[in-house]
Amino acid sequence: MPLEVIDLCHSYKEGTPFVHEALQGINLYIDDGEFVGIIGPTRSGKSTLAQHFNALYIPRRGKVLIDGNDTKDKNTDLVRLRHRVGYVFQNPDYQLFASTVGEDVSFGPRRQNLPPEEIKARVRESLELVGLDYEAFFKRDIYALSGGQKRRAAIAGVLACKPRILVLDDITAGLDPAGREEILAVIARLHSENQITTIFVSSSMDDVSVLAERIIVMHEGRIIIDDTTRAVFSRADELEEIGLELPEVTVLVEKLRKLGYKLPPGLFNIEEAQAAIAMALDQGRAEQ
Amino acid sequence: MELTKNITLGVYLPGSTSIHRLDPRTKILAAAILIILLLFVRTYEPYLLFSLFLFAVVLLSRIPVGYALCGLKPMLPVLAIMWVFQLFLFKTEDTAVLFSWWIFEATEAGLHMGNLISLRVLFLFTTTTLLTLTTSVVSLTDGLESLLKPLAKVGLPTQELVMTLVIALRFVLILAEELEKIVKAQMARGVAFDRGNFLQKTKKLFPVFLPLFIGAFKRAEELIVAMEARSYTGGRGRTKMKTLRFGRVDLYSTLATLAFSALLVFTILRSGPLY
Repeated sequence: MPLEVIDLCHSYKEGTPFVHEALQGINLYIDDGEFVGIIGPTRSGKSTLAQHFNALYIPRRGKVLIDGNDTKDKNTDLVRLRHRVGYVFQNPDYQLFASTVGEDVSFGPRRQNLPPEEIKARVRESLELVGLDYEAFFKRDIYALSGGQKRRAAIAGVLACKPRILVLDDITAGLDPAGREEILAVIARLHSENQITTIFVSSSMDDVSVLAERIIVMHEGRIIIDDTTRAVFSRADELEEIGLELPEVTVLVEKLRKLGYKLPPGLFNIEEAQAAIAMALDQGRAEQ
Repeated sequence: MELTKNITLGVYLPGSTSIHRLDPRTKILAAAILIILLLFVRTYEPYLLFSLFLFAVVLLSRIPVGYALCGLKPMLPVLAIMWVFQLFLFKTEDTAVLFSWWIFEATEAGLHMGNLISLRVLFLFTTTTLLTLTTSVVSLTDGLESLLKPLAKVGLPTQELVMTLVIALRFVLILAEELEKIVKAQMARGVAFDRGNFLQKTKKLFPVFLPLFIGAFKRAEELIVAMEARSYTGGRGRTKMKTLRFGRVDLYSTLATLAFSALLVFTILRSGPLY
């Protein structure tokens, strides 16, 4: 189910004095099974773009095609489309609107009028996928969940709709390191085991760099870089210029490069950086 | 999906026009006088006069006319229902029957009553909106407090009352934002708000309101903590950073408002009630 965006523009509060042009001519193609990161500073238009993917926003100018279906087209079944393009919101509190975990996770399947056994099976499956035990969490009150559990429950609720494309909007924001690790592990597993196309929107380069194969950098409503993860991180200066914080490893490597060490640009992986630094040091000793 | 776009009530549109810079008390009093007068309007002519006055205010404050009016859009369904009720249910003895349907009769008196009441709501809304569009929350609070000072002498907690009122006004926009988020979250999982007939659409709103209210309570609690963290303990002993000053422009504006009110009263008396 490929996703295509053509010349997309969007402005908020159009026709009022508060008008804000959030997207200014976006062109994008995301193929089946890709893992794409979308990064950019706040108000760069990342979330606005992402909410066009599942037709929460319908383009006024430009087009969004999901599997060839135009979201603007009156004949496109938007309910079906929203089930196939799952969207996990930034704040789980807005996403989890039922009172118990089971009720919330089953919300999507219930809207599809599936038989009760099928609904139950899907809830069980999605909860297990995100690592929440069905028996323990099915009847659990939403308000009794921790931050990390809430996010996992929110993802389960989306997975229960059986999406082919999963859009994750800054879901690691505000989590402690342990909760972050858990969520990232869940997402990595979903992508590798179920081949779900994953679009990971984030303002944290550290999180995106670990998982994404391709990164789209947005700034002021435009795509300024769209390339492989390594190529993106080798343009460190440009990223810092628009106010993005580089992964800690990349910052270290860049500092060493400026000091004259012979290191390749665009390193973001701890193991690779370690090997490269060790090699550079050996080389330096040999030359002496 | 953008719910907050058409909300103008309680929104402040920053500017530096003479209307923006007026003493908030001038604006509040003018709005209050006009609103009271509106309640006595029983014919069409005064509304014409009234719209000219409001139009002048809109021009002076440089608010885009389209924006000043777009806040009315969400109110139209409510007004339409009210209009229909008046059309069929308001009757006088000697009025002509326009048409009848089943057991209902639409009368000429009902038609006029429907029109007049809708106009009254529209003008009440526009007058209040113009006040909030040109007055920041802080000056609105200061102005109201200063105007209510005499009541504080009798022991009324005016400062708290004003604070509550202003917060309520701000929450209009906040609640709309929350509502948008919840609606989006449900749409994303297969609720089709834009589908079905009126009844089906209304039914879909019920599961939205529960999280909205829970969210509102949470917001209120956060607000309380934020206020207490800044040592808010109510009105007693609070002083002001900015003191209000009733200047010459305020005097002229007040005189202009009073002159207009006199004209309005004259028109109201001369034309006599339609019904």
